[in-house]
Amino acid sequence: MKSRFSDAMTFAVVLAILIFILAPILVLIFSAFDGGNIFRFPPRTYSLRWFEAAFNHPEYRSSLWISTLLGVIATVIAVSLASLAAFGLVRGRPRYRFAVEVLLLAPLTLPLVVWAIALLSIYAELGMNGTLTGLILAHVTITLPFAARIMIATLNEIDPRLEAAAKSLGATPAQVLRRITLPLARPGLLSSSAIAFLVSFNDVVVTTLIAGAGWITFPVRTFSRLRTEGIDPTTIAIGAMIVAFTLLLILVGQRLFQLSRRF
Amino acid sequence: MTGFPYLRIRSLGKAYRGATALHDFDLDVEQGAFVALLGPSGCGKSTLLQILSGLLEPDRGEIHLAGADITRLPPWRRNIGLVFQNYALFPHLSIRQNVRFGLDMLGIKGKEADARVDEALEMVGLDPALARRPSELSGGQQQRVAIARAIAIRPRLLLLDEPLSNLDAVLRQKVRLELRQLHDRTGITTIMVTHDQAEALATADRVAVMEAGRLLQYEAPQGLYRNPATAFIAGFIGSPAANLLPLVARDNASWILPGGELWQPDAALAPAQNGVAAGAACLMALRPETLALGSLGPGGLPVRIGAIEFTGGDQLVHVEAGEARLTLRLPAGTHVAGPAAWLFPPIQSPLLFDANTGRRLPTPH
Amino acid sequence: MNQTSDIKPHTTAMLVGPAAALMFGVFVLPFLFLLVLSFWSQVPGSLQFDTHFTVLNYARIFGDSYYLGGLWTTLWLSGLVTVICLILAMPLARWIVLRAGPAKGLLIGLSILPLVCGALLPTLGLVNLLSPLGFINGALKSLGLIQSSLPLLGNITGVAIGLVQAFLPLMILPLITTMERLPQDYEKAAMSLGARRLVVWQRIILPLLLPGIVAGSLLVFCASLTAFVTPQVLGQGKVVTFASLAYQQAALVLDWPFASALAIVMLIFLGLAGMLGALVTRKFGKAS
Repeated sequence: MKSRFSDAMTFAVVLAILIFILAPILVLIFSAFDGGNIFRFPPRTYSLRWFEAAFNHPEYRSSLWISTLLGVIATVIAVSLASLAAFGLVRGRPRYRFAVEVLLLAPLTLPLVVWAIALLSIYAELGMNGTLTGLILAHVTITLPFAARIMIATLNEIDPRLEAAAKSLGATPAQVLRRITLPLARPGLLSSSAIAFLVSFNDVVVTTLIAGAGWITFPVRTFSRLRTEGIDPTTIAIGAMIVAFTLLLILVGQRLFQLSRRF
Repeated sequence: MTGFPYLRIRSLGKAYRGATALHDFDLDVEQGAFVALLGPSGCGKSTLLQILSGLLEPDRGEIHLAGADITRLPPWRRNIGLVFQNYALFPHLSIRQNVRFGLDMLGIKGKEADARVDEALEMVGLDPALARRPSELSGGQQQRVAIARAIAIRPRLLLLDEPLSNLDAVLRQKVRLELRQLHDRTGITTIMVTHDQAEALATADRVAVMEAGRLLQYEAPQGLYRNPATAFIAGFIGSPAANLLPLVARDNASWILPGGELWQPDAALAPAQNGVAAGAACLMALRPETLALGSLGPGGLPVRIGAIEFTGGDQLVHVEAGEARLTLRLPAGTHVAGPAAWLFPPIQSPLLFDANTGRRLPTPH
Repeated sequence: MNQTSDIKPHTTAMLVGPAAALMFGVFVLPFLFLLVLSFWSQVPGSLQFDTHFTVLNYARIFGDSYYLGGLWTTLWLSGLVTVICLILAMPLARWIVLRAGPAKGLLIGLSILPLVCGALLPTLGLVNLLSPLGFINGALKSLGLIQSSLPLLGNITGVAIGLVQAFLPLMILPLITTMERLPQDYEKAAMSLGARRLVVWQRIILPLLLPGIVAGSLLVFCASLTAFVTPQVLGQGKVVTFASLAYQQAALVLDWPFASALAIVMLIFLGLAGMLGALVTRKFGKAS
């Protein structure tokens, strides 16, 4: 028999843990609004000046642009490849299904820093160091597992008998894809695109090691400034925006297509 | 009607992962007939349905529909309607869009399409103005939509996969009748897969009994009831299931019951009359609704009365004959005196089967 | 109707091929190269590799107390972080599964936020919270609990806090998945047979949750072992973890063979952890 008291205690503990998880992010968002020159929480004054500064800062603008471009390209490639593979694995049910799934999800379990070092050396040998192609390949590799996991889960949920019914009603495989499979897979496609983009955009570990001087993404620029100059308010402002954007994307995704279910 | 049957299945064979699902299967279906494929799960009836619809390719054999060989034709070119056990309605489309789907694929649009959708919905007893999503309907309504969707394309053949098994008992009786009536109104050649023998007997023109990938018997329901080809079929058809009494012929006139007791039946049921040699083992099918209980008399089988179940208009009386257990169905009012009694089976057309092969023993007359 | 595959094998291979080939070529092969590289050495003063087989790199790691110390620190820090994450994640996961109702999806989404934000941004927020002039010290001071600031940055404490915060989602998700599969009836059945709460937990629930616990623990342990952004930022360069050593060697010193050796050593420990996890599951867990 649970008493009200122990219920309340549990709730309090749970709340505390949640706050612990979210606090740093909330701090980041709030302190971006601080008008002062130092990174301070809670903010003494409120101002948007650092956001303005961020938008006007050319280095940051270019790194944000690069991050976005890279994110979009990597997402399109990763989600496409992952969807095709998921379709093959779920509908084709080959013998090697388990092995391929492990392969596709490998980056989630193996340490990226180790891999990045290896990739760096190989790229150097191949003369691909610092190229956009090399960077794109790396980003597709880190985002594909997320997309694959979500697309496999999504396709598993689509009853194959729906596709069979469509065929019996005269739909060719192409029509089945267009009228039945794709519409039903849409929430999964949106979820995996959102997650893939976020993962690529926010990646520090891999990009820091792989990206050449010409392709510095926002997180990498932030990280290097952090180590040399410490934290400055412009960085915080941009960081806050990114976190807010990520949070927003997750909330919207949850509302519209139940993002959390697809993991 | 002579000439080729409308649907002709020849030597169909299919195996997966080593197990044979269909074994050299032959079947003919006339145009406009309602055929039931009856059998326990695993007998291959669903496999046959999938092959007929084109969703699965057979390893061997041929299928001809209206004279044309459709064996290798892909499902979208066969014009065969398929209704799934779980209905498989497209969740992202409305009811009307579901029913119209096949018409879209055929390129039928606009007013004509609407008219056909209306017609199909009315035929299954649904209001054509129903503008909802499948998830908002009850199971029974969903099934009707699934049927409407399949018949809207005016298929040459309609395949139903266990249409009644997801419905509750009350609805089942009602829908059973409606399915038959729908068939009669539209005249579409229909094949229904089921594991429920009562359904098959009640709705079909002919029933194909299957077991382990083979066709055991293919006849009108009455034929199946009166002349089952094997002990399995005798036991399977009829509710409650027929009793299968193991007997060993002792001599020309009597049988040995399980447990060793003797039974000297009426001459029509004796081993000699039925061509059974002494020492041969047989199974006698005794249908519960045809048996009578009484006091000692010629031909009676001595039994001990066990439990009695009251089922409203009837009572099911469970008895023991030696070591065998049998069930009788008697009208509720009949007084059953126990603990010992005599059981009298019907003496016309005995149902005797070889105990080893299960095959029906011919009745010499 | 049975489920049989809808597509022919060669179509399946074409669909799965590109993704699999990419992952194999870009992800798996480099690890093999890493192994090879770790047995080579750097020609001093240049970026060339001396490809003669040598165990010099490994000798250096295990012979030098600096590197050994880093390894040891990393190992016990990761273990600590794993244990703390387990303790914190359990009540949260349990609450989400049993009590959260409609907010469940939202809470799961929020719990994974740190994961998706990347290593860096939440760490920035944490820097502020933990700094001597930051929120936590300020709050504790104004409540009169401390006189001078607690050093929470530039030491193990700060790094540990950062790692726990970053990897808690990795523990929460597998726990939620496992808990969801656990029918509540087991608890009720056990209690109706007279078992007290604690016994129910020990004998029934814990063994059934074990796969989730092991999965989550492995993820957190491996992530902590190989984390380098968080320790670098929160440790302010004073906390030496193995991954930061590897990063330094790869990105700054540019001695890639040595960095590879460091990386391989990390992988070995990950492998050991994985095997330990599998062993524990087999011995103490019950298949659900």
